Amino acid sequence: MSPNFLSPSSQQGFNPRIRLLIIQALIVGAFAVLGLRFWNMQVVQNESYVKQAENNRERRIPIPAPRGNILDRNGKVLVDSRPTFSLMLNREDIRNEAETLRLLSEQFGVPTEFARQQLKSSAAKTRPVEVKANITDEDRAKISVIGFEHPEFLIELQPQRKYPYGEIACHVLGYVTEISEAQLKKPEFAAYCNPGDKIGQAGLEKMYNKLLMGKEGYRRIIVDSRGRFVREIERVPPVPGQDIVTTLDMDLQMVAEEQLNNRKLDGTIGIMDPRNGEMLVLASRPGYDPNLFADGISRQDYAKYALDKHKPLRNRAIQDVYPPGSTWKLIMSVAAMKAGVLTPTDNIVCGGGISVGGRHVRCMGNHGAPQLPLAITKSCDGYYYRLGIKLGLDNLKHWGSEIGMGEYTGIDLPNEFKGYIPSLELKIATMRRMMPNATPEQMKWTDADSVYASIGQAGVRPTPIQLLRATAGFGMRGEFHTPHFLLEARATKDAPAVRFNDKLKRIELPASYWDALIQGMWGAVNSGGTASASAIHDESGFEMCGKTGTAQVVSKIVNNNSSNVEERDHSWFVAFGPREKPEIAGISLVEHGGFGGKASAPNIKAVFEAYLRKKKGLPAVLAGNDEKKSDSGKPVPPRPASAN
Amino acid sequence: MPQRSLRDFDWWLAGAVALICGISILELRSTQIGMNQGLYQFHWFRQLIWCIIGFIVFFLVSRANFQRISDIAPYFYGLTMFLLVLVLVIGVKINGQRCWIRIGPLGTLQPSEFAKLATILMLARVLQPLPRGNLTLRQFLIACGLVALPVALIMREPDTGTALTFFPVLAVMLFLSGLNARLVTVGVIGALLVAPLAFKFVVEPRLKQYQRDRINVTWNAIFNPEKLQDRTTREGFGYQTLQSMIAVGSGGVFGKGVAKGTQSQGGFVPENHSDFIGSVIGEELGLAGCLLTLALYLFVILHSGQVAGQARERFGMLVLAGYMTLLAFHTVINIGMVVGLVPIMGIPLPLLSAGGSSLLMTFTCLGLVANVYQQRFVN
Repeated sequence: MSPNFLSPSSQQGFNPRIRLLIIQALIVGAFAVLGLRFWNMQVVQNESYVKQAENNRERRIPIPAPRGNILDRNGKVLVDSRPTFSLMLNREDIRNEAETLRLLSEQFGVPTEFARQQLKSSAAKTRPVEVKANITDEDRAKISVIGFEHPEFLIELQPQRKYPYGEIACHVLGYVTEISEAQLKKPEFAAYCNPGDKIGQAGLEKMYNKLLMGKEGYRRIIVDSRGRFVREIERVPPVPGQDIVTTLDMDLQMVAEEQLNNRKLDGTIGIMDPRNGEMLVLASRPGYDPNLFADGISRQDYAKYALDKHKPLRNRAIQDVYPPGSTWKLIMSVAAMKAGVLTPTDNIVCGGGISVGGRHVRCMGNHGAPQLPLAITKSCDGYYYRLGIKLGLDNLKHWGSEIGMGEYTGIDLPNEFKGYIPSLELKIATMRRMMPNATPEQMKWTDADSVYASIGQAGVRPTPIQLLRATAGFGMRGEFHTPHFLLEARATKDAPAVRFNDKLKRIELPASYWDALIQGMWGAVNSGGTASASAIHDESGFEMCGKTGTAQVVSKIVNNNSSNVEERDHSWFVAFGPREKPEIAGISLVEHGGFGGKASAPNIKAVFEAYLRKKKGLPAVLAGNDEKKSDSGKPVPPRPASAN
Repeated sequence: MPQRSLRDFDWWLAGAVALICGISILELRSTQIGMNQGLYQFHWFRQLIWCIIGFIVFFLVSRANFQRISDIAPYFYGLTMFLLVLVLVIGVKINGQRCWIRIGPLGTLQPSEFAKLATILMLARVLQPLPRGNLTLRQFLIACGLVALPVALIMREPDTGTALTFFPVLAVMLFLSGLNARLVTVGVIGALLVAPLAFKFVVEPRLKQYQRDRINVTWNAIFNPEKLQDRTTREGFGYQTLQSMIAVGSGGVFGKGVAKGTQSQGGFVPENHSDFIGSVIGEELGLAGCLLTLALYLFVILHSGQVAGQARERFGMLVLAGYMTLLAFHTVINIGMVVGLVPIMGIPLPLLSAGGSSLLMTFTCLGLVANVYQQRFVN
């Protein structure tokens, strides 16, 4: 064994004191490194660490701003927000996700998949996300017990949107849902919305979302390492949203909805004050329940609405286009008078119809050679066939647009459709679609086209709201207002009142011309015309002036009692009253309702009569008239979304 | 004689230790402010009790007969080895480790703490005689064996950090026993060259995932601090290191004040009464407090080394040098953990971290230093 292997060969060759000093030097070196590290962290990078320490213990908890209520013109609450409690989950404070998800599903019945999805949402990065709305008192008690160990569970007071009238006026009011990721990226929302906000997605809720929403406030709180509340350091209160007073008159709205429900057909009724454009009623059937959306609509419920062929989500008054039938004759008349091709005293032959393009197109009767009032009263097709040819396409297009056909009315509801009026481009596009082999000759605008267009067929597709605006304007003798629902967004201490900015449009015609037109509409209701069954007999002398329309849906002539409902004609009625100084105008469209005087004119009559009763201080709905009506405070039970 | 012994008593050492204990009690109290519990549940109070016991032990050991200590070393070693086996059988499991034996109301006993002292004493006893001034291969092998046994047992607990502390102690004690200087040089240089390769191919594949994660965190804390902000790191295995660094870094020059540290008071740094007490000092006492603490430790360590150099017998020199190494290793590794320079391993900061076994062991060892100090000029 060679000891020299481990030890120096020379005796006493090592000095333990020197070796000790070497060790001590190494230790001093290590301490120097630690000292430098302290200096670097606590002096050089101090600021950054101070900031991190602050972020660590601070939480920003949003305080939702109460969303403004929506009221009718008499102050009835149509939409409000009620306090409910939501179970929120704060991702930042989750220690053990599996455990949290297990508790959620076992204690609160929240599906794990849903909770996981919520945690992945972009909202979860910055704030607590809702995992269960409308929790019970029992849930709240559980949370306060679990909360100490699981500070990720929070209870938040969430104003829940309520629509006490259910489906009534749903298309006007709209609904709210949580803002989508796609919407958040859009600049119009990014400016004032946060992930997790509930925003209006339809109707007035969407149109006036910004006014209704207000501005969310927040609390800054100090928490400990487990996210438990320690103390509050700042509170910025929310700015409440503005209440919106609408022009709607709920009493009349209920009458209109009732009328449509009784028809058991799809359709729409709009009632407007012709003097200023205020919409008193807008009903569209079938409808939907906005409460379902506000509560977080289930996939099945949404699919039921979206796939329903009756399209309950669509506001028929502004988002659907229809052939207007004979109501179009009013537009034709004004266009022709304005274009200078017609005076009210012109006699135009009816002839029981007209032969054009190798076919004979019939009139419903033989009216001789009527002047304008009679032609309107009797809805003489022959008169308008010839007038249509005389007017020509260009005049029709120009003056039709001037009256607002195929143009946005500017109503304060989102997603208004523009509609169509006849044009060569429209015809060519239609022909290309329907008849790919059409010859260039067939692509031209013909007199036959003018004939069909004159009675509201052949590419005439305005929206009901456009016809209502025009009718009201005619009643006002050329004064057209913008239909709207905003009476006033009430002032708050943070925001001034907002009113609708009405755009007045005038179409000038000699007084005698307007008289003749109105005379014709008066006659249609009050003097042996097409709507004479719906004449209103009121002691105040209120007389309704109107025009029926019966629009062909299929090109063959069908019996309007046809068992196939979808082949029946659309039933139209437009009206205003009283004859002088009109106060109210209305439109009714009943899809496949058949003759205009039968399915639609009574609707308008019913609403106008309710209006008159109200004006006299009587209840809008006659007590005892109908069982359902007797309880006028309560909403009418909604009709099932799909009736057939 | 009593007068002389009082004059020769190691007052400097006792003073430095008392200051460290004072800081410890002050900051342990700060970590539990506002808690409503029995007095004995407070770390600071238990630390105070243990410090008082510790100073008594310190005084008694400083007066003990050093030869007797050498004599009982084998029994002490044997007893601690037995306890290390026992802890594997009846030990209390905390955080997956079986390091503690519950002993009634006194709390728990950590045999590995005492194994450190026992091993140092045994090593010194074996390495003390130097026939012809040389370290024999036989001594070398026995020394290695004496260390291997407790290391193997402690690895079973498993407590890698504590097991690691034995190696620098062994190395230094061999070095001071005349290990060939050239061999040492070649060994150190060779080790430095081989270490990265050995780590990559031998150590790393054997590491558990949490160990690998901790090493990654340390790497990032030193070289890419922004990577610590990564969500999975920030809220996962990097949490403790990052929170500790935030605590220390946000302390600034003079600290946020006792009981005013937001990190410490909010409980953001786990284990801030034991292994991470340094983060509380860093946050609440600032750079000033940290440098003072470092200086106190450095004084105790260098003082121990100096006394070792003046020891009359090799046994005393080796024991003190071994302890000096152990204390230095603990201090550097623990504070390194707190500032993110060393991966997290369960190594407490002697005297500062709460813990009776560690305190008792430390005071015993410091008593040995004082003992040698008193006897250095005695003939």
